[in-house]
Amino acid sequence: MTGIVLPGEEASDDQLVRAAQHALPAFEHLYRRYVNDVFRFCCRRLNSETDAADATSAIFTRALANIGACQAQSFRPWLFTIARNVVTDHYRAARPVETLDESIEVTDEAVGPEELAIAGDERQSLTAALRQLTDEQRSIIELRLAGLSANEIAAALGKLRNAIDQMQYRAVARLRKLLAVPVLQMEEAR
Amino acid sequence: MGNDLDHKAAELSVAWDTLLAGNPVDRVGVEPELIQTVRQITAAESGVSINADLENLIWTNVIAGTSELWRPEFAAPSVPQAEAGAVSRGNVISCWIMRLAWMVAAGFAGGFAAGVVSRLAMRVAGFLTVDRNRFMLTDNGNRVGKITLEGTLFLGVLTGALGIVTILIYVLLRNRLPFSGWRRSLGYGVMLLAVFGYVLMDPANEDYHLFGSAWLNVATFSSLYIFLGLFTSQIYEWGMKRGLPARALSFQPAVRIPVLGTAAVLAGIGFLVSVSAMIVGAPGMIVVGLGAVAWLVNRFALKDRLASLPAPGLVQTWGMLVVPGIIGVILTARGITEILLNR
Repeated sequence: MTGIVLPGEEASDDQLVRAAQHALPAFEHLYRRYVNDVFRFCCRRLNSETDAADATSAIFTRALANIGACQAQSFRPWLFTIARNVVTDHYRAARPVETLDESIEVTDEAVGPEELAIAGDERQSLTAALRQLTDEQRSIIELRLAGLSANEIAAALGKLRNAIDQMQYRAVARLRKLLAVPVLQMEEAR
Repeated sequence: MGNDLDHKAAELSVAWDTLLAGNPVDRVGVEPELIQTVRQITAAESGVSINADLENLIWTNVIAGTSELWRPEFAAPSVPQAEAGAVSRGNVISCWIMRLAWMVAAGFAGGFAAGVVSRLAMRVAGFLTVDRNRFMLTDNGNRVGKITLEGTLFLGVLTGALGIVTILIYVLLRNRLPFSGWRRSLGYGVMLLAVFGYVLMDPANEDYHLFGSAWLNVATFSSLYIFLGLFTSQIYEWGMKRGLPARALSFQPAVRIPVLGTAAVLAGIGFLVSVSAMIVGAPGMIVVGLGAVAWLVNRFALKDRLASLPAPGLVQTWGMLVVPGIIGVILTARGITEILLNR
């Protein structure tokens, strides 16, 4: 067997995907790079950290099992396409599979309890506002919040970039009204 | 109006991309209120993160739950331990053993169930047989229309052994099979019938004529393949979804070592049974053997060159199985045609 030269964790997605198609450690770098984004996406969609952990596990399991079919230059849209499918499957399933609840503890980078409470409120407001959007608008915003660019979202949703831009525009405009926070107040907060 | 909206939407999109890249937004065409909203919702989301313990636990689940353990690179000794990160070699080996044991258990259970169900189907066929053939000796020395417990158990054990081989092939092909869930399992059963059907669809076997309708008999024997594919893969997937093989990792050493030992014995038995089943079903195994050799040649001698070609999956690595598979399909079609035309 020939030795496999593995790229380091600083390598590009493209390099890591090519290496991951032959060796597990390269996939682990991809996992470490994106697990937080995927977990956050799942938390947002499932409203349950336990379910989000299960879904995250299923997403990366599916990604690893199918990494051979991934085009190296579009790993992130591909990963989030899987994420959306897993979340959809989760909704369809009558009951969740084995849970990981014993280790679940979502940490927050905010420092004190006050900041935590404020962040929690903002998150709840955002969750409520997102529910007012259409499914497509909501998907776009959620993928944005997971860190995807407009082109990546277009690839993940299988739509034209122009269509994504327009739906995103309408979604943000609607969110602005729903969240109804004065601009000056936000400026001060920054 | 439409162009204006397009322009604003495009500007907002570019601005959001810029924000994601961590750069300041200085585009004049962007509405400031919308950028504020983007900043607001991004800030609300940014605080959530996964903790290190959960991250590691999920990773352990991922490597235990994937069906890619057949890939030799995953156990490549050339991979330095330091690069394997939080995953210890011991854990990976334990997962391998438990995974193999689960494959054997699921394969045998699914195969046994398929055998029993097929036996029931045969009983139906037995009732439909014409009177003059009833209680005549079959090709295997059994009586037409007479179903015995010993015969059923024998068939169950035999199909259980075949189930182990079946699940090995399933794991090999799983990620290349179409559909998901029970549809994938059903499709796998149909594929088994198409590729290996000629092993049972033997025109020289008088059983097809001793029982009633040849069509019914072909359908009955075909169902064995379908049930084999369906039952073995569904049981296997059921356990994998629940992480049964990975659970051994969480046992205390006092429990874990005996469990792993038992699993290793089970895996060894499975290996012997598989080899025996391959020898018994030699004609069918030619297909598997050719495919496996082709796969190994591609993987190691050709250094995966076929897999790196810009071609659809069908003509990549597992496409090497297609040629022997097509031979199997032709033989199966010929066997079924001859059985049906001779009657």
